[in-house]
Order: sequence, then structure tokens, then C-alpha cells
Amino acid sequence: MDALSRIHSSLRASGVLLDLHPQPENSRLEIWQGNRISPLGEIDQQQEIQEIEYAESRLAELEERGLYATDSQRFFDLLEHHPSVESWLQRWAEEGWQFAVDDEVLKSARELLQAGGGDLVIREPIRATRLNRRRETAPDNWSPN
Amino acid sequence: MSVSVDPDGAEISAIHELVDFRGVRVLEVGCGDGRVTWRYAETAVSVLALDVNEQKIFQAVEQTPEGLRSKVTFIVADVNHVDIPQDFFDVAVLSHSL
Repeated sequence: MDALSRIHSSLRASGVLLDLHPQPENSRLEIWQGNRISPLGEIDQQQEIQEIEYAESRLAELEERGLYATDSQRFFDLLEHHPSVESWLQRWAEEGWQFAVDDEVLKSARELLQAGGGDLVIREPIRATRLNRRRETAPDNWSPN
Repeated sequence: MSVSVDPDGAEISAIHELVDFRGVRVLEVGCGDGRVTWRYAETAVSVLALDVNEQKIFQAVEQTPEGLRSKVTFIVADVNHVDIPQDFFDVAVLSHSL
């Protein structure tokens, strides 16, 4: 049994699953200096995107089998502010997140921050979904794999 | 300046637009350091928050506001390998851990 199936059985019949996860697309890097926002480019997160797409397909499969039903969704950008390029790189390394970014983008970010201060901002598109629990248990002939 | 996540409150707005946490029992899977947990726990009856990362759970426990200590429980655990009550929770939260 996988995580989504275990969660299903832990929920009451009227239970709700709130799922927050990044959209399967690259985050964007910006420099904010006062009212000025300088978009510098995308962060290559191909591996994470593949994992998100797989997870979304698993959730869709459980919906098709009638265990959950999407009720409503919200889309927003999650902003992460850092005082420096190094602060951002250190945090993402500590989190173990796989990503790549062009050296020219990093160079531009450092130069802008050094010249005018401000924040390095990561803009990550997020999908928040409310799913209602359906059906008491998975059908006898259903396998999560 | 320190790192700041969701300073404009977009995430907290979306969470509360989708779910009313008043008086509910919550299971959170992949809670990390509790960043999302704090955004709804105050109005919930109880929260069981899981994460496989021991360091993150340690941070979450350390940072738990005094007023929430009686209702929020953080556990180092994989949801696939821990005993959790059946047919018990009103809300399950998957925060960036699908």
C-alpha cells in the first residue's frame, strides 16, 4: 500500500486531503530591488519535474478508481527570499534538491545584488488541491502498483 | 536579512481558502520543519505531523509555539511504515511531498 492509500484509510468518510505541490515546471530566479524586479531566468529542475509528473499520475489514478475526488484548486507562486546567491544555493543544497542553473545567471545575480542590494527571489508555481475522500476502502481487486 | 518563505502570504491564503481547519483532527505528511503546520494548527483540535527527516522534526519540535505544544505532535516517520489510526482524521495535508 502506498502513502496516498494509507492516508485514505486514515481519513474519516467525510475526510479531506489537502495537497500542496509544485507545478511541473521550472522555478524562476529574480532580483528585487525596491520596486524594481529583474527576471534573470529559470532554474533547471528536470528531475524534480519528472517526480512531480509521476506523483500527479498516481493521484490521478486514485481519483479514477474513486478513492478521491478533486473538489477545488488554487494556483499561486510561492516566493522564497534570500539575501544572497550563496544563501539560496546553501539552502537548496541542504534540502537535497536537484537543480542546475546557468553560470551567467548566477553571475548576473551576484553583480546586481552587489551593485544595488535587494533580495534574490525564487518564484515557484504551486498547485493547492482539496480532494474529498470517497468510498470506504479500495476495491478488493485493486492494487496500488 | 534571513531567508523568508511566502512573505506575501499566498500560500496561507490558498490553504485557508480550501480547508476550514476549525475543530478538525489533522494528519500532515512531509511536515518538514513545521513551516506549513504553523499556518493552520492554531484552530485545529490536534495535529499529527510526520517527516522522515530527523533534523527537520527536531527543528519543528524546537520551534513549536508554547500554545500549540499540547495539540501538535511531530514524529520522525514514513507514513508507509508507521501505525496511524484508521478512519480517524478529518483532514490530511500533503505539503510538497506528493
